[in-house]
Amino acid sequence: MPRLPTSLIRKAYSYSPLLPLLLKATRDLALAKNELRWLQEHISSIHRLRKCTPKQYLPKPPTLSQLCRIRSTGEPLQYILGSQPFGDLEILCRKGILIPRPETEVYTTRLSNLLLRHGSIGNGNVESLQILDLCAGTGCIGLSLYAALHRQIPDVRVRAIDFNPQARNLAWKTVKLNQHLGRLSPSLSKSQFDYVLADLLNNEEIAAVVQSDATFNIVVSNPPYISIPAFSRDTSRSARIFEPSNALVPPDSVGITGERTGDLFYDHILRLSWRARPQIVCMEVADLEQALRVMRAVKDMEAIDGSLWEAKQIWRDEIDVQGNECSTEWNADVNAAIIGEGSGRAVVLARSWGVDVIKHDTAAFG
Amino acid sequence: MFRSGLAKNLPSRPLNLLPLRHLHVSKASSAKALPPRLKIDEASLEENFLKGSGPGGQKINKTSSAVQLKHSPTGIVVKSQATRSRSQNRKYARQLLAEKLEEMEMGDQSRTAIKAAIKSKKKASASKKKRRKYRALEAEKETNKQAEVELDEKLDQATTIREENTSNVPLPRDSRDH
Repeated sequence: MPRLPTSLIRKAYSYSPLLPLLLKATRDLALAKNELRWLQEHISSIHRLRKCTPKQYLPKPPTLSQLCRIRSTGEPLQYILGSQPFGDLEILCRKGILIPRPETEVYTTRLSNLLLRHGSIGNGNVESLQILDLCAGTGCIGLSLYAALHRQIPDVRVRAIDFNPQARNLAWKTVKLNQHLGRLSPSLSKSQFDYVLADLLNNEEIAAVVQSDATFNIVVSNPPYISIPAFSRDTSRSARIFEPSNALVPPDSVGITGERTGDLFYDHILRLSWRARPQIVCMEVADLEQALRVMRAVKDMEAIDGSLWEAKQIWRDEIDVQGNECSTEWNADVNAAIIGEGSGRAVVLARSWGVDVIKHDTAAFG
Repeated sequence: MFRSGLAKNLPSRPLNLLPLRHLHVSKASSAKALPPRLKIDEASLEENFLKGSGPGGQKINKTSSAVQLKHSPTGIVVKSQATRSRSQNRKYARQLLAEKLEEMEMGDQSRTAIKAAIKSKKKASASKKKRRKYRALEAEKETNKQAEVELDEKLDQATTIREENTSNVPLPRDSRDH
C-alpha cells in the first residue's frame, strides 16, 4: 500500500484535526470528509435521543474523536454507525455479519425494477411470488425485494436461509426498525419473511428446511465467493480483518485448490435450484472469470440433466438499474449475454416467464 | 397554542422519541410564489451508480454511495454523494440537475435565481436595518455624552461656588478634637 503524501495529510489536518485519522481508513480526502460528517450526524442523533430519555439508563455517548480513532484502525464505518442504507431500507450491521455492499444493492434494485416492470406490463401471472434467499446474512436482498415488490404484488413471501443465528436475530431487528421508520409494512410477519437456520453445504439440514416439493419463483444468493488466494491478495484490510471470513471465503474442501476454492457454494445453489424450479436465479460472483466458471458448471449440469434455462445473463457492476438497455455482448461459449460495464457481478438464469422479465436487454439476441 | 388547531390533526407520534416542538404549520409569507419545479423526463437520464469504482463486491467494503446522473440531451453531468443512502442521493442528484437545467433555460427567472435574489434583498434590508439601528444608538450616545459634559460643567461651577461659600466658615469644634 503506497504511503499517503504528507501534503494530503496536512491538507486534511487544516480542514479538521480529526480528518487525518479518517484518511488512514479511507485514503481519499473527499470520502474522509463525508465520513467525518456522517460520524458527526451520528453523534448528534444520539444526543437528540438522550434528551428524551432519563439519563441514568443511558451509557455515556462516545465523542467524535473516539469514533474517529476507532475508524482509523480500519473498523468498518457501518459497524461504528450500526447500519447501512440498502435500497429504501436501513439494514442493521453488527460485528460477525457481512455488511451489505453497494454492488449487491445495484443488481438487487435492477432485479426488483425488472420484476415491477414485468408486473405492470400485465402478463398476469405474477400475483404471488416466492423468493428464496440463500446465505441471507443481514437479509438485505430478500427484505429489499419484499419492500420493493409487496405494494404491486399482493402475495410476496421470502424464505431466507443462513447458518448464523446472530444474523437471524439481527434481520428481525432490522425488520422492526424499518417498520418503525415506515419503510416496511407493519403487517410483515413470519409468514411473509421466514428466516430459517440451515447450512447450505449440509444437504440434510437443507432438506429439512426446503421440502423436496417446495417451489420458488426466484432464488437469490450472495454466498461466500472469494477464493483462498484472492482473500490474501485482493481483499481490503477492513474487510479482511473486521468482517467474518466465513461470509467471504467458502470452507476448505478436499481436492479443490486455487481460484476454484471460491466456487464451492454455486454447485449447491444450482442443485437446489434444479429442485425448486425457479423462474429466475440470481447469484452474486466476484468477477467475470468466476461468472464464466459458474456458467460452464450450468452447462455441464444441463448436459447431464437436460436443459432448464432459456436465458442466461451475466450482469456487470455498471448497469442500468431501471432495466433500460445498456451495452451488451454475447458469449457464444456459454450462451450468455454479458450486460453493462465493469467487473462481472451477478449470474442470472431464467426460464418460463422469467425470460420475459430479464429479456429487455437481450432483445437483439432473440 | 401548540395543542390547538392543526396540531390536533397530527398523527400520534412516539412521544418518548421526539421532543415537543413548536411546529410552524402556516405557509411562509413570501410575496410571490416561486415558479414550479422543473420536471425531468426519466427517459432522458442516464443513471450510474458505480462509475469507475473498480473491483469490489465482498472483497472491498465501501462507504460511498455516489450517484451520477447524465442528462443526455444537454450532456450535463451531476454527482451526489451527500448521504450514505443511495436512494437519498438519487433524489439530490435529480434536484441538482433540475436546478442546473432551469438556470440554463430560464436564467434570471429560474427558481434558484429568484431565491438568490430574495435572499440578497433580505440581506440588504437586514444590513440597512442594522446600520440604521447603530446610527441611532451612536447618536443617542453622542447626546448622552454632551449632556454629561454639560452636567459636569454645571457641577464644577456649583462646587466652586460652594467652596467659596464654605472657606470662611470655621470647622465644627468636635471634629477638630479627633
